[in-house]
Amino acid sequence: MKRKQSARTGYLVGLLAAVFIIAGAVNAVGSDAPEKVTVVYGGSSWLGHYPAWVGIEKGLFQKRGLGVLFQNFYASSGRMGSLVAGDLDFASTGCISGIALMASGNKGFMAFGTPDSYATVEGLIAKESIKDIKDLKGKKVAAPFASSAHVLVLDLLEQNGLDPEKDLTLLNLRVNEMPAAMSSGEIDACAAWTPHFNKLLNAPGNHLLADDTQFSLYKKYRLGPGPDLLVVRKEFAKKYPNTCKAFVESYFEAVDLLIQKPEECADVLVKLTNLSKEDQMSVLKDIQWIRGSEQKALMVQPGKFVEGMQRLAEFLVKHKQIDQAPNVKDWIAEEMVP
Amino acid sequence: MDAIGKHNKISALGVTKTFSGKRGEVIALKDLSLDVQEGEFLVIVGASGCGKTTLLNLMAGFDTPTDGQILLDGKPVTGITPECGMIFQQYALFPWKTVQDNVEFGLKMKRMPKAERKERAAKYIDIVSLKGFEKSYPHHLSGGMKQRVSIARSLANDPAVLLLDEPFAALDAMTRQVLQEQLVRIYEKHRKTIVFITHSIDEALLLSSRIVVMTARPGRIAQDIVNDLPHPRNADVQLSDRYIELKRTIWNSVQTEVLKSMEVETS
Amino acid sequence: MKKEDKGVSYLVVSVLSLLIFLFLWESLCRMGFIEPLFLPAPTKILARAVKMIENGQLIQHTLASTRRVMVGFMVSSLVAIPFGIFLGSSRFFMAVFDPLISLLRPLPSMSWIPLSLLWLGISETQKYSIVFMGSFAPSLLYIIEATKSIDPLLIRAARNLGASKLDVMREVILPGALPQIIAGLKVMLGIAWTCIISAELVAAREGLGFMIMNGKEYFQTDTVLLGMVMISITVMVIDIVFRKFERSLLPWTR
Repeated sequence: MKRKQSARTGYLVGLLAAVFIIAGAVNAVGSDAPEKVTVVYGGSSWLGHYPAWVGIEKGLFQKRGLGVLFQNFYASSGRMGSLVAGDLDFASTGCISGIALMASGNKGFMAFGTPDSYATVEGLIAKESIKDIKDLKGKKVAAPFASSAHVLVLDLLEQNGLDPEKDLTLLNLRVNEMPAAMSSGEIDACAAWTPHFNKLLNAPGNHLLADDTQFSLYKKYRLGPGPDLLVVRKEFAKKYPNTCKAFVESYFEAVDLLIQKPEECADVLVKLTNLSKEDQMSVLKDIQWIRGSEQKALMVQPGKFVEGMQRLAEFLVKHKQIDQAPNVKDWIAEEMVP
Repeated sequence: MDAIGKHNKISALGVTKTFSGKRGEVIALKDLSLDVQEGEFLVIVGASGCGKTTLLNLMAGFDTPTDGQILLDGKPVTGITPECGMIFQQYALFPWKTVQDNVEFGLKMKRMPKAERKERAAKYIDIVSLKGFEKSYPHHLSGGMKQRVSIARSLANDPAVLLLDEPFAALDAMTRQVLQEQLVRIYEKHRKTIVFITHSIDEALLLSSRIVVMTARPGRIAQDIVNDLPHPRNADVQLSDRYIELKRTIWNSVQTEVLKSMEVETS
Repeated sequence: MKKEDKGVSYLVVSVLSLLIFLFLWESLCRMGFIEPLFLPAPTKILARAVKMIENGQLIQHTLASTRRVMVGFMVSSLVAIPFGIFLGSSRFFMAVFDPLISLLRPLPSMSWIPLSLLWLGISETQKYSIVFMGSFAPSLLYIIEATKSIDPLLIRAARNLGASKLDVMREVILPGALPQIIAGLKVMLGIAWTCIISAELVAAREGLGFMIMNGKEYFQTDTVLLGMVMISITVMVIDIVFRKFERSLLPWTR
């Protein structure tokens, strides 16, 4: 008797489970639910990745059925390489790297937004004895090659009629190697971004020569030398449009949260940056977030940001950093821009 | 004790040498005493493993006795001394040096000036009949020629005693004969004190002024006879009764010792 | 078939195999089977080479790296040869230095970057030091082995002829071990070159290592491959020159 009863119960449970599963599947296929529920995002402790981090920590992605894995990469080039190789699905990158990858002819990725603008947390710092950029003649200047700071230096030198090959020594140095080199006197000036920028500025004997606001394209387009670019792997975007939509929505919701409740966000951001709450708040103060609603104007119509990137590409060609300027517009995923 | 005009050039006094190896202790020499007079050509004959090479190494100072001592001109030998010039069976010529440079080596170590060295070396190269080969490298020379360079090298250094460890064993019979004759001539001309090791009784009879037969391990002296055969030791001498008589006594001694050493090895 | 003919025909096989390999590579790229970012075609690399020769950069980078490797390597050899002979000759001092050498040996050149930056800053000396640290311990060990492999009979003969311990090191061990040391140096020079990328990671603005890393930043994979090819070619050329030079150093081996 007992055996028959348990068999019947088992049968019922199985039937119910099947119904739920089928209903769920039908639901998923027929609706806007994301096709792929786990995506990988490439980032670092740089401010360009704050929205992604906040989105993960505050459950904004989860809300829309997405699990986002935050994968750490120190440099944009490594991140972009991983993206087109298929190990990352989304990322934020310095647009210098983005443009360089476009110039190499690679069509494996698309851009769909620019989350931030920061002009006062990156710049050229020099010893007190150097009053003017022209004073850099014959001196040693350090910058991390192939970065926004590098581009800033090239631009500032050009504006002041100095040739980096002939008039001074331009060295390749990572930002975290700069404080030691400055204090030992091995270099006379260096270009860096936050938080190293802040550290260098606070060290005795150093002062600010120029920041991103002096960048020629900033003066014209309000575009710094290395704004961040949101990118996605092309085949991923094609295959999972719902997933991308959910990602973009959650992402810009995080941007809104950063604008409206910076302190709440700072609480989770310190886990990423290892800064003190105070320092984190001061960094947030210097960032201008670009909302979802503003993206279309920048990226598509009239597309001032895209135009600015095109000028940046031409700048890079002029300074022999890349071979030829790509047509940046070809890489914009217009349908993904919110 | 000492004859007038002659004295002990090199002596072993109650020398014992033990080696500790994996199979326990090996007594190579036991309480061996031997006096070599100045100007003697002493040949030591003995079975393999009887300690002849060990004795020679002690004389040259390559090793020190466990007990007893070696005296050279009355003074104990405490370390490697160039006064006992050794000529090795494997020649030991420096392959990166020419014949000239090899022969000059000892003189260079004495810090003799270059010109003087060159002159002296040339003299000894001539003595061993290798004139014209000064600029050759050892690997261009035959075994016999290499040994001649080795002899010239040791001689040029003017040692008190010459030690030769089976120097001609690796050479063919004809070359050996030539070198033996050459060595005898050098001995007669310079009257060096020579200690020479060999397996060959004939060689001992040909070269020596005195023959010592060593026992099987542990090495001691089994027989010590003066070789009174006349010089030159030509075919007539080699076929004479005296030669055969001497050969027989030495042969018997050696046979006894060889059998004894084989017993030791199988036991 | 005469021996020389066989030699020539093997050379032909090598050249042909290289050409076929390049042809296949080029074809696969042209047909679109390989993404240029991951592996550019040989003609693209050649085009980059032409461009960099024209603007003088390729020569500049090659010379800079060669200078860094040669200085680091030569200092390393000049210290390792006498020190190695000394340690190979003295069991006591070998025991004294053994722990330190064993600690140093497995360390890759890259691990020395932080310390070298602290001690030597960002100067050229810092770069020489990376090459030095990468090649010193292996060279030393090799020379110690070469020293130990000298026929002890020769050392005996030298001492018997009146040579002091110092004389033996200078007159017997050094020339005796020289063929083996030189053979080892050729291998060590190759190892020294593997340090060049680590050496040029910090504060360089020229050199093949720099060229490779900079090319990576700009996704110019053709530049990266060109840098790698140039390193190989440079090492090959140095090897050939070395071999000619070697003959005159070792006249007795002819």
